Amino acid sequence: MTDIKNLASIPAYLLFLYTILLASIISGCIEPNAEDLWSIKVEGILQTDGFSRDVAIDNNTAYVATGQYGIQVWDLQSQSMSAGFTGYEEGGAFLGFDDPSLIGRDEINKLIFVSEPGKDVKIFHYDGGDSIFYRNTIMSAKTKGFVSFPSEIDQFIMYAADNDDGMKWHFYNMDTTNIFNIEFIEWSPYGGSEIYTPGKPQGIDSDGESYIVMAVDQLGVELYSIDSLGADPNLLGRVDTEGNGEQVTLTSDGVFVACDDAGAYFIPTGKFSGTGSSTRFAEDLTVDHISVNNGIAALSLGAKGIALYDVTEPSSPIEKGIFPVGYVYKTEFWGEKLLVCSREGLQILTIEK
Amino acid sequence: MLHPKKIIICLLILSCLSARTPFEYTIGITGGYDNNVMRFSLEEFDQAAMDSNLMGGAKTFDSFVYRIGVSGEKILWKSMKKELSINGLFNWADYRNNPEREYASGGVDAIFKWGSYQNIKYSLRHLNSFYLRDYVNRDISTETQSPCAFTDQNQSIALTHRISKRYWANLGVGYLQRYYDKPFTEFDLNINYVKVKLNHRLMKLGNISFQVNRGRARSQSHFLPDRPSSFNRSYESLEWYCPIKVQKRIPFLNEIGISVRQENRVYAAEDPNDPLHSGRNHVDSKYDLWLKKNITEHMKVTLSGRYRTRATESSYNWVTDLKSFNQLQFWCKMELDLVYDRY
Repeated sequence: MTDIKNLASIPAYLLFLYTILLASIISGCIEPNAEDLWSIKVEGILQTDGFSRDVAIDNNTAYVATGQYGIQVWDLQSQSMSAGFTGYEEGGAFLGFDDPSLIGRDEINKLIFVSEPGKDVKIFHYDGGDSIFYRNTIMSAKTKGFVSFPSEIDQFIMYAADNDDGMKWHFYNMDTTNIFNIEFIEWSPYGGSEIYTPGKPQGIDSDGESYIVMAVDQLGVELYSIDSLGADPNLLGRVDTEGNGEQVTLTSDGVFVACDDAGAYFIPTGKFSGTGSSTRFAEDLTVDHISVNNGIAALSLGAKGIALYDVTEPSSPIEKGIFPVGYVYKTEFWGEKLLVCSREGLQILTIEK
Repeated sequence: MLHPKKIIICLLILSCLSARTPFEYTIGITGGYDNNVMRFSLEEFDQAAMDSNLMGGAKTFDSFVYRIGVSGEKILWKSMKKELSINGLFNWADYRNNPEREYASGGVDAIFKWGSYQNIKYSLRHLNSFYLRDYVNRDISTETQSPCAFTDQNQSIALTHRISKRYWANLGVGYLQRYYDKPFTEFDLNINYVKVKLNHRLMKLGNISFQVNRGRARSQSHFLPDRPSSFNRSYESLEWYCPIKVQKRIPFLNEIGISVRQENRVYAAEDPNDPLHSGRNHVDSKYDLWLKKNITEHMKVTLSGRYRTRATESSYNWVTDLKSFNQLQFWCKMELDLVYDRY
């Protein structure tokens, strides 16, 4: 055992250094605590001239509703703009876009669908060149959301959330007529109907196979079943939510609902027929839109950016962080990356778990 | 983050030291009062009256405080004027009206002396999970409050040297790790500092000192990739401290002391998305008064009081209002000096 005699035989300064060394080894430096949050990395910001309001993705091409600019087409891999359109020609006159806020793409029929606030849906033909060609207008005023599926060449089907009429859905066929050797192309409605709802439709989504889901504002969310694409929708049920049901995202497990200042909900499909229970989350956030991919839910929060949730178990969402990436309208997954429609432009983010 | 294994190892090593010098130790019991435990600003007092979530688990703004402490000193080596000693201390504090703020702290010093006012000291201090108050966890919420606590580990080395018969000085450098408990780890700081202190013995009266402490706190949370609240909380600080102790020519008492401590802190943040830290600075002043009386040879009582005020400047008025506060504390400490000497 070390005693005072042994210690005395050691030079004092060495003893002091040993003491410091010993204390340092024992105490060391403390390690920071780690939080189980996710990180994001901004891969790029596509500088759309107007606000980036909505995006439709086809492979590596993004069709962006850029607010008062009009619409823009971006190559996501090179992060360069392929084309931009501030307006279109109709009857020989150039008409500028007011403020496109909804956009969709039908790659098979080379169509772009555009809607402006409080208006109907305009169809444009775009095959990758420098021009878009206006075809005609479908649905009706106060279209708040739409989803379309090409059913075959020269035909598509569209479901729309019409704020004052309910759910509208139709097949559309391409009609070509020649008048004085001028070819007129229009997409004419065929079949379908208008389904009344006591609510005020705000958003719509569908898998194109089994379900159509529609947010009906103060009345919550309605789920419709279809036997196949184009079959008559059958109302399965309506689930009320706190706040206003504004936007809906359909997944294989159920429906994610953005309820504005009441946060968000996950409603399992069974809940609409009376089984199961819904889960409310992000209660203190104002949620405008939700996109879901591979166990990740991205909530658009307007001025507060985005919030990410782990929804691997959708009935128990786990918060993974709020990221102030600007004023965000909506998000869309492009493979594993997240495209963020914001006032700052279209942002490409990588989520790091 | 207080590792029991390390404490046990320390105790085992110390118990193996059979040096033939006495082991001097002190037991202290302190009772006190803090009028603003959570350092609320005037505005927050009003808010807390309407929103009890701000108070965490507390029912009152103020609290009575109890603290028990043990400290000891062991000389390991002594030869003529040279001496090597180890000091250790451990404190446990409980805020009666604020149950979240119960914490332990402790430390070890190794001191090598080669003359009077000539020594070098290595210090290690640990403050374990010190609760501040409940804050909104902005990583995941805009409203939900969570308890905010941090752990400090402070290592420093200081050289003391005599300048003249009445003057001596201390020069020290230190490294303080301030790591927050979940979910506030984004506030973690590594703080380097340099400390210079000049001491003057007042003839037949006591002594006066003047200390300057320059520190730089580095935040790690603002580096890419972006995480929630990835803001820069780095700051630079300059603190001065001036204590005056009167130990002679005073009736009844054995020591009267006053001190002023003032810290000027300037945050490095310039991110407009972080108005809470961006362009902010503050002056944190502490005024202390203490009276000490030796009841017996081995027992002493110290009465002390502190007035603390923090004045914050920011280009945002709401930040100025939020981060400025006043605090008043009183303490009564009884210490019993004991010696274990069976050699």
